[in-house]
Amino acid sequence: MARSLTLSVCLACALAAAAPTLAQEAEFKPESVGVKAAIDPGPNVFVNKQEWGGAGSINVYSAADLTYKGNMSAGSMGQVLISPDGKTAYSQSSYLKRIMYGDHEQVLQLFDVATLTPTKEIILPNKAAMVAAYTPLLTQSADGKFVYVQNATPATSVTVVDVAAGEVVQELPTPGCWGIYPSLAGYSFSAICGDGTFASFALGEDGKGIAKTSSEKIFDADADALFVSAERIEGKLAFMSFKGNLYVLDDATGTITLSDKIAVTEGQEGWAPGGYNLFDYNDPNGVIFLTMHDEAKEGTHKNASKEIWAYDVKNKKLLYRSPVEHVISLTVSDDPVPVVYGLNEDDGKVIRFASDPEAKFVLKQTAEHEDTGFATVVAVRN
Amino acid sequence: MFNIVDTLLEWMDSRAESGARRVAQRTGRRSFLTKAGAALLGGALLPMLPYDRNFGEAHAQEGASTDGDQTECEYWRYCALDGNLCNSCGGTLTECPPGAEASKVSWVGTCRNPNDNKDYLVSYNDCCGKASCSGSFCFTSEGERPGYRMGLYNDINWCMANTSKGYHCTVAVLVGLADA
Repeated sequence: MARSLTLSVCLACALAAAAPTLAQEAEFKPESVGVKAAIDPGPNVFVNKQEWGGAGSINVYSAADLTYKGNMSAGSMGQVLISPDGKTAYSQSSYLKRIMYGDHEQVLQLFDVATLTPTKEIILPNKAAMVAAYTPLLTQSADGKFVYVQNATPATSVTVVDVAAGEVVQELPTPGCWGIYPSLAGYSFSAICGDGTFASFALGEDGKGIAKTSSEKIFDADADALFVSAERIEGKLAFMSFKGNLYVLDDATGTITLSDKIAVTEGQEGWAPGGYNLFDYNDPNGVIFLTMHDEAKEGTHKNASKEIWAYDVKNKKLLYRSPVEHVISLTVSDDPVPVVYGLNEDDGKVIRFASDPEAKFVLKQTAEHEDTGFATVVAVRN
Repeated sequence: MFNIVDTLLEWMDSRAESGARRVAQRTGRRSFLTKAGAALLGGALLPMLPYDRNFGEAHAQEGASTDGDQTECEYWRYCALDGNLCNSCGGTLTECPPGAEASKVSWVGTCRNPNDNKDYLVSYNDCCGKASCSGSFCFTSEGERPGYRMGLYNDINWCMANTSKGYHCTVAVLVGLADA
């Protein structure tokens, strides 16, 4: 007690002695904490940083130099969709009450990208696929009215969500089929099936009803399976096969037909595509960029790449093979001078590559950001 | 002859190095990922595959540990395994660690046993309900296919049909002979 009294007296003495000093520093103004109103303007790169035991996130970077702008927080094992205008992000993810066990809730969340804040959430049937992220597992209709959610229990189906109404419209069985590839108009979508066919499902304007058609057998899932990642090329759906064949499919009639099959790896012994969302198409130049690995054989289809190939689809010609390290997914801008953004699996980073159209689209790394964790989906929006 | 031996050893070294590198990379960075694997034993897909054939025989062989190093990703049963090895997480080759749930559904690989040159059906069951184990992470995909062949798919969380859906680790259970 005596010691406390002494300390108190000494503290009072010290404050009194400091009073003149404080007066001399009257111009000092303490800061106050705040919240930045919005992310910096400019084109963005989005990366789905997926987690399987906690909160995942949609990371946002500057497309110019990969400066980190912030993130949007989601649940576990999430899928991501970015609207074409880049203003809205969608996340389907899982929230377990005790993180690794307990009651389970699956949610479709909408985010305003500018402010990185959630704007709406829609509770889903607890059937959404808990799986590594692939772009065809969370998609939207051409006009954005409906969002389609891939389910797996493991029986496969698709949940149709009316975004404006904030309601689930229906669960549509898609037995034996996987992936959701919306039509360019209306409310139809197609899916890849294990027997080598494609199924197409036509919905009404209310998102209800089902009219299903099946294609002829198009590919062989045993001999040369298709990756589920797909891109639009000249209005058609394009898929890459494990052995490097580009399947170009027409979905305009409501039933998938094969338009073309291009052997991208012809003459390139031992090389094959590998990864997750492993290719993208640059429309102004008619060129695809594709992650490739060597010593290819059965079972290497998810090997990280050693090169990214630039391939001229129109002239069916391999243009350039750029050496890279461990890229497993990529996206390319729609610019006349394309920019490629890749995800490095092993180091957990996103990489920006400039291309040179005057030099067969050779790639040169210009920036990287190392905090993407396990990420397999990357998107760029202007 | 020496050339053949050297070539073989070089191949084995490269395999081992590759496996070790992958383990280090995955466990250091994405053990959380531990993508769960998959296919079915039980569940809706069971009737589609002959898991029950030679089931007893398969289990009779299960205890044999002289057929390879079960702690290495190159062990023959792990030819399509994407996940943490449960035998480095407190469990065994075929048993989940205490307190975990075995997945009700699983994915299946077809792996060749180099000791008898027979192809076996291997059920990769995930163990569920606990935080991801940071033991050995293996990632192989022989015969693996995307979700349109769900029973062969190793990117998905095969705890999906359990009450506890959190992914912990994966076991490799022989359930039959591929050509039986």
